[in-house]
Amino acid sequence: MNTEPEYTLSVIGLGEIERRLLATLTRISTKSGRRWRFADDAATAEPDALIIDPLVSFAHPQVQQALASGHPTLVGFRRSQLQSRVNVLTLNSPVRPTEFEQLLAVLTERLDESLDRRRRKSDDSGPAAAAPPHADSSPHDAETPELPANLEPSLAQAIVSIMLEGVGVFGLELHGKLRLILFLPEAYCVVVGPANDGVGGLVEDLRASADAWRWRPLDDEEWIGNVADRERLALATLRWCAGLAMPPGRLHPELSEALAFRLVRWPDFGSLGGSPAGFRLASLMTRAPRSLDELAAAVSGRRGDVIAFLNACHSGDLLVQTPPIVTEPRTLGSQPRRLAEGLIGRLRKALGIVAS
Amino acid sequence: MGVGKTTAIAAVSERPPILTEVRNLDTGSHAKASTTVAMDYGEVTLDGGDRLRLYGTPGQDRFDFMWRVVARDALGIVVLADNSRADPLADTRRYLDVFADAIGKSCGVIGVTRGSEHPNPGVADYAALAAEFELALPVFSVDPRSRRDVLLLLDILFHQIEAMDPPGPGRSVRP
Repeated sequence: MNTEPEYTLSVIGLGEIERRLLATLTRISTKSGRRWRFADDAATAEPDALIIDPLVSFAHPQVQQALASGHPTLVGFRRSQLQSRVNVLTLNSPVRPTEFEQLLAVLTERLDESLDRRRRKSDDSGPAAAAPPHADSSPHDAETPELPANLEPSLAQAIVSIMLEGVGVFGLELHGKLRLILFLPEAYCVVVGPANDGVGGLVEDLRASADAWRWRPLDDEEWIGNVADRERLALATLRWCAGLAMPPGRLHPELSEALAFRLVRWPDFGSLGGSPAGFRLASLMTRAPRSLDELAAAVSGRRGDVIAFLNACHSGDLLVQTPPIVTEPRTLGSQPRRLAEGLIGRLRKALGIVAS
Repeated sequence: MGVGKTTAIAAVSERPPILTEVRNLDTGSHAKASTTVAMDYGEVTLDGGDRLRLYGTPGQDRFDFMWRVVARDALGIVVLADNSRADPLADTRRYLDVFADAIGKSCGVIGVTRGSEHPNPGVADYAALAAEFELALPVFSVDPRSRRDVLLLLDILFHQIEAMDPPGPGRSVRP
């Protein structure tokens, strides 16, 4: 009996004809031992490999959902006039069957290797580590109080977003335990730090998220030569980004919609990015605990934005949850409106500040 | 002293601000040529003829009797901290000692000046200091010479005023 795993391939942003062609080629592929199936809906298929059109933004919700659900290996679709979004694995347009066969063979090899690595890790660590990396059963949580539970997958996701969107050299230094350099668009990573020093779970998540990338050890000289003098991105910022990178519309598993949320500290101004809605939410939540519904009402019902904001605040350790305080639903929205129409509105107008 | 209060008020006042600057004799504390000895005053006229009054108080300890007077009934308080000072956190602590109660009842924001040349302490250090006073204050790096930065400080203050607790049962607030 053939016990080799089967893999799922999906696409985002390609045309109907290209999709049909790839579906057919996947079905008749021989070099990869017919271990692939084609799924048309990338967002729900939890694909193992994802081909992305160069016109598609990685910020697109469908891409985010696909990346979050299955940690697929990414393949850039290369059109004649447009550079591929992904530089590691590419597929040229128009698609040629031989090239596609070769791509599937490479993907199969990489995914098999990845699976082996995870199996070995599972065998080494015992039952506690048997879950897939993004299920966050990491045994390292107790050793890394700086990283809240469940953060590692989203942190990895944030780093992967940087990988995918960026050009240049990026360095990551995490509490002196992990150093990571991303060379873009050459697209390989170098990493230093023992795998079990407290950030091993993060490293595994990164490997799972960016499986197609080359990983190799890094020495101090290389670190100093490439990134030591560059501007630093605070961990707080990265944590904020990690919260934002969580699946859209879904509260962090540690947050409850039944509770109210209060901010214990203001988010970093750079993280808020000058967003009036961010200012408004932060102002409301530092005054008193607010429910999700109240917050959504205060920003014109943009519930998804509020959830992303709450996730980011939680990832940044800025948030506490309290039992809800019963208030009349209209008061929160109406009071600022009254003020905005009155004194504050006139102040803004006189000073030339655009009202949020 | 020398943090940029006068400059900040001048950046948003619609008329030349009234300044009470004299030659600085305390050059050991700060090298600036002049310093505020009474208070700075600027104005912004609103629709209907009302005027927003902006007061800047002298930063030196010997003028601390004025601080509470100016803070009384203030809608909000902006604390400017000069990061080039020897111990800017100690300076800010001194201001929060005085203003924490008023900020708790209204709202406030901390603007850190000269942060680009003097990155330490960082905004997180100021936020942590505010937390010691049980205040969750926004802390931003600002250039008081920039009208845009000063307006941003004020806008943050406005957002906080708008977010103040709605009236409880039995109280009424008229627009």
